[in-house]
Amino acid sequence: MRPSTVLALATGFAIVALSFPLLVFAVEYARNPALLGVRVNVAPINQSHVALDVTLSYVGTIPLTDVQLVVGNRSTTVGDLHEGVAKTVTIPLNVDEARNLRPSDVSLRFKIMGIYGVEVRAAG
Amino acid sequence: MRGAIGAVMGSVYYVLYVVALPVMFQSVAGLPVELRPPVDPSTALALFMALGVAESVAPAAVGAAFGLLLKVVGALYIYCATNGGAVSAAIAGYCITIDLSLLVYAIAIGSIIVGVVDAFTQAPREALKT
Repeated sequence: MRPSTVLALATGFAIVALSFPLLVFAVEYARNPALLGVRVNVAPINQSHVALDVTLSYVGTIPLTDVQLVVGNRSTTVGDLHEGVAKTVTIPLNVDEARNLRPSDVSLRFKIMGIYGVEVRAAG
Repeated sequence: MRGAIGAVMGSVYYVLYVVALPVMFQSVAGLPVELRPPVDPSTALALFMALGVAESVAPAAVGAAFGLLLKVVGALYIYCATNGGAVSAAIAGYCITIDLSLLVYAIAIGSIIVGVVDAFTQAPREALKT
């Protein structure tokens, strides 16, 4: 077998291996769109501030790393999410800031198995 | 005859870089990702076929260079079509952006390395024949 053929095959295998976590995540998401659940609860702290409690739950097999919740220009680190794990973060917000918050100001960032960065943002 | 084989080889590379790999990107992401092809498909097919013919009819060293250029063009096409790996899709009121740059670089670097090795092993062999 020619060296270039061996290299082409090795490259092909490397690409398949690299895309494996992404493929598994895509298949799991297609089977269960609620793979990554987000629950939001707003509770008043005092007259000027409210607490935004965001609970993220994950049931997929591929770990999600470096999970960050971005609200406006503030980023909150959630950490890593593994199968069956739910994490809650509390973000204190000024009442005016909370009132003017648009869906597109909130986004979720994470990495699929530490390799592929993903950002989910509401289109509105 | 060699020209026809070259045209077929160019078409095979066209199918690989312009059809199969972009479809693979959409499949692995599991989303209807928007790709931005740098040139229209007919131009790409003509370019790949021309390079394939040039590789097979040109003298050994020049042919090897055209073979390498064919793979470099394929790698560049993938890089441009996927915006360097940052693909995005709009789904159910959400905009999802996925950074697939690692895959794109693996394909681009792999293609170029295969092209270089092919050129260095093919050229001396062809030169011995002539």
